[in-house]
Amino acid sequence: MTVPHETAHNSDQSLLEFVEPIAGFPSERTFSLTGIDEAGYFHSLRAVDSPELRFILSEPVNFFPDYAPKIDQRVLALLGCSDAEDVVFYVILSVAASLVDATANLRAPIAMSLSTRRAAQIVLDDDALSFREPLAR
Amino acid sequence: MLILTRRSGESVMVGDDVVITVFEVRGDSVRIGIQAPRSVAVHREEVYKELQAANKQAASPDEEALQALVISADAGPGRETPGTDKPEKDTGS
Repeated sequence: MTVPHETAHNSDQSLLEFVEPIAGFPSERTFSLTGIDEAGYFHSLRAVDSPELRFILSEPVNFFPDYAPKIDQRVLALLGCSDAEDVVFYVILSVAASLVDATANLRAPIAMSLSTRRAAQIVLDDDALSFREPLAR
Repeated sequence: MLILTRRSGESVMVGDDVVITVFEVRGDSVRIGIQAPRSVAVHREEVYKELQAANKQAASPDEEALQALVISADAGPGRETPGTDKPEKDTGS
């Protein structure tokens, strides 16, 4: 069985503009978001100007159904939208050689506005949330 | 590094748009307020460093590792329910 690569015809490919750069990557602002697998668990966030740079994202509900970051005024203002319903979260995955070691960054998810296509990595206040939460439990 | 001394209520400006104000000094700690444009992230240094490290580790994973993860997840994440597949407790000795 082959795993489908991101291809141009994936219907959910779209560009995002980061209003604050992703920490550690200050020169990258525009990214494309593309689905990786047919089941829709994983997405590729690829820097348009440096295509060798990409992050693997997942919607948190896939692995952490109770995870519910608050969407406050600061986030709405940052993303240029007024409706919390318009904001979706993704978490960045750290993929390791062994799956058991894969983790998700729950402390600093990526928030994105569906309408404005602006995004930012938001560092949440809750220090009980891990930067590296194992996917496997 | 520029080092300044400020009293409670006094401020420092960084560029045109960032203002750092000392609110309260008590013992070893200082309560500071920071005004900055929305596009400038403000974080405790140790948190920011940990964030950078986590992002760098996550950047551009190996394709094989990614495919292994995708295959295993598409085999069914979240099917485990509490209490299943747990090894029996060792009640010996």
